[in-house]
Amino acid sequence: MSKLQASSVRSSIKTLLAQSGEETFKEAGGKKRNFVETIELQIGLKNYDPQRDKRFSGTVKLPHVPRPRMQLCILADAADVDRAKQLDEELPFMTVEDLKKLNKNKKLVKKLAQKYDAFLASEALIKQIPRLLGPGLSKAGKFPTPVSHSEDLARKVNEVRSTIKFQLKKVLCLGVAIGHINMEEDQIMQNTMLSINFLISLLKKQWQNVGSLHIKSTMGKPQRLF
Amino acid sequence: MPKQRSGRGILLVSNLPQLQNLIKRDPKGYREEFLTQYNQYTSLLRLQSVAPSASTSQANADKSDDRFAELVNFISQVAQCYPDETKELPAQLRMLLLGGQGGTMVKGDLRRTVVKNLVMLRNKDVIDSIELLQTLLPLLPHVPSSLRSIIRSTILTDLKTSNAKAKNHRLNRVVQSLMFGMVESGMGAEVVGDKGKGKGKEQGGEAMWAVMMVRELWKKGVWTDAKTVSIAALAAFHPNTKVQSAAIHFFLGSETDGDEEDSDAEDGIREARKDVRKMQHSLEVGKGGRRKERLLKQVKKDENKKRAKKVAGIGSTPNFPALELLHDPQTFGEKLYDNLHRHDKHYSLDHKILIMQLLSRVMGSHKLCILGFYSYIIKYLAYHQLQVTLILVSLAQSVHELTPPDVLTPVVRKLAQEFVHPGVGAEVISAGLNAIREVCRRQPWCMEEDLLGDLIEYRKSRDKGVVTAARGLLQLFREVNPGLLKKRERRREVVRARIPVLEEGRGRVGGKAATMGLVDGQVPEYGHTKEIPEGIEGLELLDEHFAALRKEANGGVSDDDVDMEEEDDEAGWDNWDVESDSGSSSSSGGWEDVSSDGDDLEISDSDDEAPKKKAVKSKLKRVAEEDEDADEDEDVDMDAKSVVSAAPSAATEVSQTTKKLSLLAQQKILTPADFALLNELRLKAAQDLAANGGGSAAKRKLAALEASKRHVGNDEADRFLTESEILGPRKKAKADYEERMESIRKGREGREKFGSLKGKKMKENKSSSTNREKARNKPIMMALHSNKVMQKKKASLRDKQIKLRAAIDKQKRSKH
Repeated sequence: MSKLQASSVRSSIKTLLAQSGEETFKEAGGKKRNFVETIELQIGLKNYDPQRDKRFSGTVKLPHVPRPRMQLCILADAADVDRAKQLDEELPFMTVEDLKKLNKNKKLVKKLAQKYDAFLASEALIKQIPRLLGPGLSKAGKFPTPVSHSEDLARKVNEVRSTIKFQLKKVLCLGVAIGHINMEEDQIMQNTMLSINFLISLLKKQWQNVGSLHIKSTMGKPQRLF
Repeated sequence: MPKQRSGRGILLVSNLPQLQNLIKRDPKGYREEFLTQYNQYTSLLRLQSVAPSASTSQANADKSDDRFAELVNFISQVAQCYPDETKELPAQLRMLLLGGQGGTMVKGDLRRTVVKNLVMLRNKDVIDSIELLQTLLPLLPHVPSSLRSIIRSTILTDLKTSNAKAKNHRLNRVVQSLMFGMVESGMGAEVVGDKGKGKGKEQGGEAMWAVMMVRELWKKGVWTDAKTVSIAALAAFHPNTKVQSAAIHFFLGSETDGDEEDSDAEDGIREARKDVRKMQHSLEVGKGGRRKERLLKQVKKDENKKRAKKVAGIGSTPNFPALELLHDPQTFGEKLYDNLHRHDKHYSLDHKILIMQLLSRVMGSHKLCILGFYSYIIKYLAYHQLQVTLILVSLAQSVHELTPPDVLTPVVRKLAQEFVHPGVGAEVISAGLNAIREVCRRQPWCMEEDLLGDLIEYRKSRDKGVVTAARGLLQLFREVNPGLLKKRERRREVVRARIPVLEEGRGRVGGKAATMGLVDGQVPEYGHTKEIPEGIEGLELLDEHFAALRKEANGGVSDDDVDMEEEDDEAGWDNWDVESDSGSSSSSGGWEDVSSDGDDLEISDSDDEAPKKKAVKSKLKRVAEEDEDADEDEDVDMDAKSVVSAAPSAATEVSQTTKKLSLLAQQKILTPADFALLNELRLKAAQDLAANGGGSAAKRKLAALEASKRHVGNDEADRFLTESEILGPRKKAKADYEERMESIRKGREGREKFGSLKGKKMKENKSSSTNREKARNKPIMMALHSNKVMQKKKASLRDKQIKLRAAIDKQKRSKH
């Protein structure tokens, strides 16, 4: 493949949605699953020398939330506890006392880290996190995002949910969640485009570094874009 | 003729090489003879295992050993002819070497013979690599060095050849687990330090060899996987310090080793090119010929192959640095620190520094927090400490943006107390300032205002190194956190515009209080990340550019809903991969294919039509459809609002503008041409900014952009710190008398004495030149004009006659 067109991306998304859609999966040759499948963008790199080139990592905020059911937890001081309780869908929270109870116990911290997909923390607390919890959270790549009292909590939660991270680790391929199958086709399209464009802009030789691009729903077939 | 017959019989029995030759020609016919020899071999083998040459007398033992060695040679040579009979042979040889099943190990020449035969069996494919390596690896620590080098090279080449085409995972797994076992077997022992009593008492044993092998294979690029790294990671905690340091060097050295390997390949290419040129030359100069031409073609092919291999090698197998492949860096780091801390008294300083360096690199590259390290290192921070620069380097490179600042503050204070005061030399001060700068570059929040004020006063020092270091610190804080500086030390434009915002901004209402009011390069507070971008940096420039183009095309009327972007989409992809390095024929073929196939284009047209129609429709009916993916800016704003409505009332003015900017990235896939254009526009914008007094930050950004355009790696921040960065630029001190004389003496070494080469020096016996020599060497023009010659020329005829007469007389007289 030597070029990528918006139209071909759209048609891939269409087939992907058709294969896991409720009415259409039969003729498309797919299967309807009993959960909301996530759509993932998978990238293979080429001409990339991890020893020479800079390790790249980047985060970008997508226009539409790709994982609405992402589990978040706030490590909160008193004011933020109240705010977390008042949200429409209540946000799980941990206070300093709760954290102290973990007692830096590795297993408990690991359990905490596994339970949630991401963490928020009140601005005042963020400095104490390494002391309170030890390295457990950053080991899991879930170091909390600070939130100040003046910020709108719901908005911040949404921001975290719609943020994706590209990071290269140990292998020359990476995958990120960019949507789910209940989203509109156009929304998926916008998310896909933005994430592809952003990824390309991160790479040193831009398109020349890209080996392959696929989109795939959790249980569906991968669709090659590039 | 009986004599002949008996001779032949003797020949067969005693002359094994002869028999070997015959057997190889006709295995079936000589089966009986082979079996006789084989029986003798087995009985001798049994003897070996029962009483290994100790029971009998020395001479006898030697004799039987020789005979046995001969037989082993013979049997192994013909083993492939009788696979059934010699099924046991490899196992027997193995037993001989390793001494399994109650037998003992053979020694000396016999061992060498057995090893050689085992390797030969491998070469003849009687046994496979796994069997061979399983035997040879455990042997390494027990044999003398001459045999060891043979075994080592055998193992290396065997692994290399079996991994040459594709990775031989089965073999690698077996060998790696063998090596892992070799390292693991010694782990239980008590730690013996390399200081004081236990010093140098213990050799590394087999673990040492395992690590050496792993290092070599990694260097050669034969093994590049995580399992290899895990062997070294285990060995880094081996009780023996030598094994530890070998393993640590494995991690530390992997950077430079990569270059070496590369230069190997480079050398190969250069060599091949040289061959080609030589061939071409010989064709030009000498007589041509079909054979020579064929050879030339062959050589050229070889060269191309080598080059292609090198190019492919970059992309096909990822060669991550060893540090990246660590399985669990946090635990690894913690164990390293534990090792360092617990055996602080046992280890020598050099070894401790090695561990510190590895630990700090692991911490830096994986962003780990091992807080004990900082309190541990404090006691080494003294200017009179040996090798303190290396310690400073490891301190600085262990810091990263997630290191808690409150841990670092005492370290920085101590650094300042110890290194930066008037009582120490200028080098010490500059080293201290540089170290503080490097720490602060990674975590600026560990600095305190009053301390910083004191430190930057050193920029008025008289020593150049100190001035540079202090200025570097000042420059750094101007960029990352000008709030800590006094007003007159800040950059002018910062003072004017930004700082008030920074100071008041903490409590402002709005979404971005955390990062708001930051000056360009300013580092966000601890734990905060830079604001997450919603698009690509500088994309708005591209957008503006397109808007301007559109305006031009429409005759000055700014028109948003005409979709221009899709048109140059095709052109944007033209030729993009031609400029890539892999300019082979296949890729250009692929490009041709794509450009010629038309339906791709058709689909895109039909696809684009849908939103276009909608856009037109909406314009006509003035109905805004919420779920529309239109190209019209207004529409998308509506769209954005509807999406954001999940986050209530958040769509402020600011977020709207950012939404607008990032739209381009959501609407189309940026082509290579777009990216090129984008880079150019960014460069231009940066130039404008730098020219209009953007300050040093703008200049630096410009430089970075320019560097990336030239494909120069600008990842300075990622690379590890070196000692010279801490030492800073140093003025060379004036040499004293001894040093000067030393250098003069050094210059004189191996050169001739100055002066004339005549007479005294060239002759065997030194003497000055004789008058005769001088006369002979007199320049001809001088001789011609000399008095002697001129008088002769000017003499009258009569004088000449007299002289001639006299000469004749003289000659006549002398003859008698």
